[in-house]
Amino acid sequence: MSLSISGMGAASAPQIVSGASSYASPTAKMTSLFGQIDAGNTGSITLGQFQQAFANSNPPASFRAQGANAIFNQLDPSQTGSVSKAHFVRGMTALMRSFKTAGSRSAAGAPMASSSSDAASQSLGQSLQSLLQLGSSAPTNNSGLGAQYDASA
Amino acid sequence: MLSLYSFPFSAMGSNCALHLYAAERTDAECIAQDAVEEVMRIERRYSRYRPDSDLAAINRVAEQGGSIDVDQETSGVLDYAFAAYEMSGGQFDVTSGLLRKAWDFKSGRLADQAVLDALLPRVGLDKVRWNAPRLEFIVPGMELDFGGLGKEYAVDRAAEVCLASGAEHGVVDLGGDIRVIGPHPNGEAWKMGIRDPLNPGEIAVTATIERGSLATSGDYERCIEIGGIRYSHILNPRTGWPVHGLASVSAIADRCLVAGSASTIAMLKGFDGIDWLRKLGVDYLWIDDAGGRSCAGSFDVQMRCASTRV
Repeated sequence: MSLSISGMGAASAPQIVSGASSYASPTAKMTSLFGQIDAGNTGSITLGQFQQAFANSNPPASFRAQGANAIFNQLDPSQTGSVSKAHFVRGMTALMRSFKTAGSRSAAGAPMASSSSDAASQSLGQSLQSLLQLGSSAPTNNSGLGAQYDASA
Repeated sequence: MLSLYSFPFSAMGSNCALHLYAAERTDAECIAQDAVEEVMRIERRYSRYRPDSDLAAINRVAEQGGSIDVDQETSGVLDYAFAAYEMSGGQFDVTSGLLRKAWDFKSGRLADQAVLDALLPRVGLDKVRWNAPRLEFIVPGMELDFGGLGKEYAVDRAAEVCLASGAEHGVVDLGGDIRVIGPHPNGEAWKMGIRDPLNPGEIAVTATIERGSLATSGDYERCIEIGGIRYSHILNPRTGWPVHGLASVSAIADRCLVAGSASTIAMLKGFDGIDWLRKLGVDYLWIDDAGGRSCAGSFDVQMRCASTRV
């Protein structure tokens, strides 16, 4: 689902939040996802809504490989045309688990993969240099990053 | 005319998003797809939850004791981990994930000291020999966890993929670890909220960032509160017990990996982290357990929040 583009543009409207890493359970994630798709809060979603959400979001590769219709059919085996919140959360959570398990099985025993590019190593090297340079200069009032804090939010 | 396109996705147990300016949505989608794939690639390599990850292969050796040769990218991660360990005086330790076995933050109970005592001899990066490309675990039963590095590294890589694809304006946000690709097309900085650790539903402070990275470490996720004391998942690797003092530290640096390390190390140091941050030369904000807060950098004169414990 796309975020509201109009809400993102100006620095006057904070939309990006930095905080301690949180962990949401798969069930909580799917409940949240259902809420985003069921914007009208009807308690169920249709194939059309699901297709639109599928197209606008960036679902995992395993979901993309199956496609929106196939996934929806698994959530709605009776083909009623809509899926309730409970069925959606339970079905999607189960599908996520099964795809992850299948992915792990298929990759098990594979040789240690190398990065296809030196870019990754270069990135880490730059970070290491940056880390080692921390504290090498006196505390400054100007980091040069153009950052500002405003506690009035 | 550039428009802003946002691409939310889930990775590394977090809600993530790329915000990119492009002339056409399809342009932004192509860039976002590559960046998301890079994040997923890093997750596949270094997730502790995947039995097929490269980290899992390392940990199978760590469990038995012995050595393993790693590739160039993993060497880079380990070089960084050892440097952060040194810089933190041994507090930023990628072997400390083992201590999770003593802590169940959903149980409402503190760790059993006997369990911690049994785990601590197997914690400590000083027990690991690193001579690239060979990694050697002297003590069996150890474990590496790149949880304090992986997401931040992925932020940097995703931003670099976007930049390499021609993106000039945008933001990478992996669960609050953030790197600015470039300011809005009109030159305006991005505005970012810093979560209030004492009231996590609220924004404590807002930062505007033209370029660079912002990372925050806090004690309010995965914690137990007993007798008014919050026991967080940020554990002292020497004692196995949660650190106290600071509730949240945000740091701004050129790279997200560095910002993340700075904020985490400061948290690990407790109140000593305040002096440590001062000497570091990065922009920072700390909020302590009592709500005291202070910040420094180019923005401190404009910060209007109370600085009660400087």
